[in-house]
Amino acid sequence: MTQAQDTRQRDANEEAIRFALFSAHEHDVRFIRLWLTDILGTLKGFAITIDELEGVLRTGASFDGASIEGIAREGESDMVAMPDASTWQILPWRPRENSVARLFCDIRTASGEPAETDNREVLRRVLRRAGEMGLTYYVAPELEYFHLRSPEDPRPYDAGGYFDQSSDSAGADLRRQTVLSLEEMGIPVKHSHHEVSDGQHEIDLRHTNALTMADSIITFKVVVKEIASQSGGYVTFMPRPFPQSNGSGMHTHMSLFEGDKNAFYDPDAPDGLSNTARQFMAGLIKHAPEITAITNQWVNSYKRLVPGVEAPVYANYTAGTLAGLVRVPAHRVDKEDSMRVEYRAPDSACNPYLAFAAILGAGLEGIEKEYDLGDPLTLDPSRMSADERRSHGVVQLPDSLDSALRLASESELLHKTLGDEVMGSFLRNKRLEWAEYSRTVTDYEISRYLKLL
Amino acid sequence: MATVLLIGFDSPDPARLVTELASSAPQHSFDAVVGVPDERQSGETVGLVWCPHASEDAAALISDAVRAGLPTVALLTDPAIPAIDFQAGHVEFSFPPASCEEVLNRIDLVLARARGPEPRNVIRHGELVIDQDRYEVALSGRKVDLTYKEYELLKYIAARPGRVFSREALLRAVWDYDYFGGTRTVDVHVRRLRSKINDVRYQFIETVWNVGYRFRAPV
Repeated sequence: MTQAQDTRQRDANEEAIRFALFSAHEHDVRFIRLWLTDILGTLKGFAITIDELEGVLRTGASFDGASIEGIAREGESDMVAMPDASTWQILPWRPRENSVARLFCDIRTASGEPAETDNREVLRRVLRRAGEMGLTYYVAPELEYFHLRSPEDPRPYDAGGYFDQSSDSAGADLRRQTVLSLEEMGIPVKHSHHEVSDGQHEIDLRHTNALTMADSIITFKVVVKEIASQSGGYVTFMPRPFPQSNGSGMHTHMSLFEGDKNAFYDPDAPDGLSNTARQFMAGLIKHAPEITAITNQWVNSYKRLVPGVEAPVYANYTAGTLAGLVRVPAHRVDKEDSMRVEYRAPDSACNPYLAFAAILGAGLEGIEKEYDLGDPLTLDPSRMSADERRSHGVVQLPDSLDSALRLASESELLHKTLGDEVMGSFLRNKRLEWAEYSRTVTDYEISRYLKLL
Repeated sequence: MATVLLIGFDSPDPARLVTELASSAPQHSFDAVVGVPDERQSGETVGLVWCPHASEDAAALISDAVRAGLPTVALLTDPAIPAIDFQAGHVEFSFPPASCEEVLNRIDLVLARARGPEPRNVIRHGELVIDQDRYEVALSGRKVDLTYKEYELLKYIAARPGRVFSREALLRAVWDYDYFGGTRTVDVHVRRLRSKINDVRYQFIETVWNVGYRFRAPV
């Protein structure tokens, strides 16, 4: 960064700080929540009072860094939460007097360096890499979730169906309320509808850069849960809560732009796909198995990635209506900006920072190494025999957290993209989870084996 | 920009003037009222008093309006200025034949005097007021809640009305050096800004096809 840029950025930050301070005064804010996410994307944080706001905006607040290491915590470590003043936001569902505001924070070491394991910094590193290639990465996720009566009574809140608009759907009211709150918080919603299963909803966010989007997804989950709890309901982003219903995915639409130009679009290609798009998609497909642990990080995630519930099982590219792992949604010929690629593996319970970093890392690898995409599959690979799949070069996605972790731990791409420290911490967490799960005797085993054996 | 309360307009005589005023000053809204309202009006309000014959009635109406804190323009047929307490507020007088332009100018004059000296850091375009000292935006007197970047973008282009900016230029001017969104970010912010600062009658931010955006100041 040049000195002039440095000065400009300091001025911009000063302006953002003053904006936050005036807004705090205007809205009579008493408490400010400093938001952080841990290695698994869970929202963490702590509150400061209005008296501390200015100081914390300028120099940050110390906290125990072990709190963001997930379940694999070791000892304590002094870290600094450095608020990003431009993320200042009053929480709209709180009372208007004595309002509460939130600030997203970057995590620094005690000496002020960006922390290796800071989710935002990890994603920033990959975005910088794209930036050096002249590319801007836009994402637009489709977030699915179940609206339940309560965690103790996890029956669906409503009994609507796919795209139902019926007025008796209590869930529709809540969805509308949620969308309004999101818009109020500066998170634009593109579209929302009732999903296939009872109580299942989908909200699609309008594309933006991946860092803002990852912050938005964290905020999104808080808003959705908050609005639901106000009406006595409960929302879960669990990937597959009910064996009889589809799971909740986070299909992610994405594109790369060079300035104002959609780098995925080529007017001369019959399918409109540029070479860059094809290489990016080839990168996604080739590296999909190893990044699945990041995009689908829970034991339960793999109950969704199974045949028959509209979730991808194979690392393939499909055309038309076949729903493969990578898909090119129909785009309007007159709107080249709408040319985009959809990656359908992630679930809404992923850590969006690491997931976007890994997905972009895989795509960029494809561009840098000029991978060949080949032709789209015109047959559903789940209807092929194993031999046919092999001859078509179709690879299966990992079918359990355990196999996903094995692939992730050997992945050069992930270590390069997310950093050794993040990978170490992530794998420690996830191996603990898998070990715990493996020791569990499930209902399935009891009902199946107890009498039989 | 302001609500003009037409006080004492009971004769058919000024009907033509009112029609003329309303059509040449669409930025104001003209409301006929009976007597001077007791409650304080929200937003900017001017009292326009017309009392053609009885000058005592005129004096009473003007005094009421001034005491109610209304910047007031009085249209008088009797050249004798009624005895009222001038210290109490802002009053302008006008005598027939008062042209529409003159009345509008006097309305602007009392409004400006009532506002007091404009703070240095305020950008004002018609109904839209951006107070840069307080980081506040108001539309028609009502506060608009903006995120920081929405505020910065609005402030930047509203300070340079009529100039066309490319997305690239706006991105460089408003976002950090270390920002990862591209020029489409500008579109998303403009879309949101528009939804927050538009009234149905006026669009402040105009899309200039294939170039970018321009802030359109109301005439």
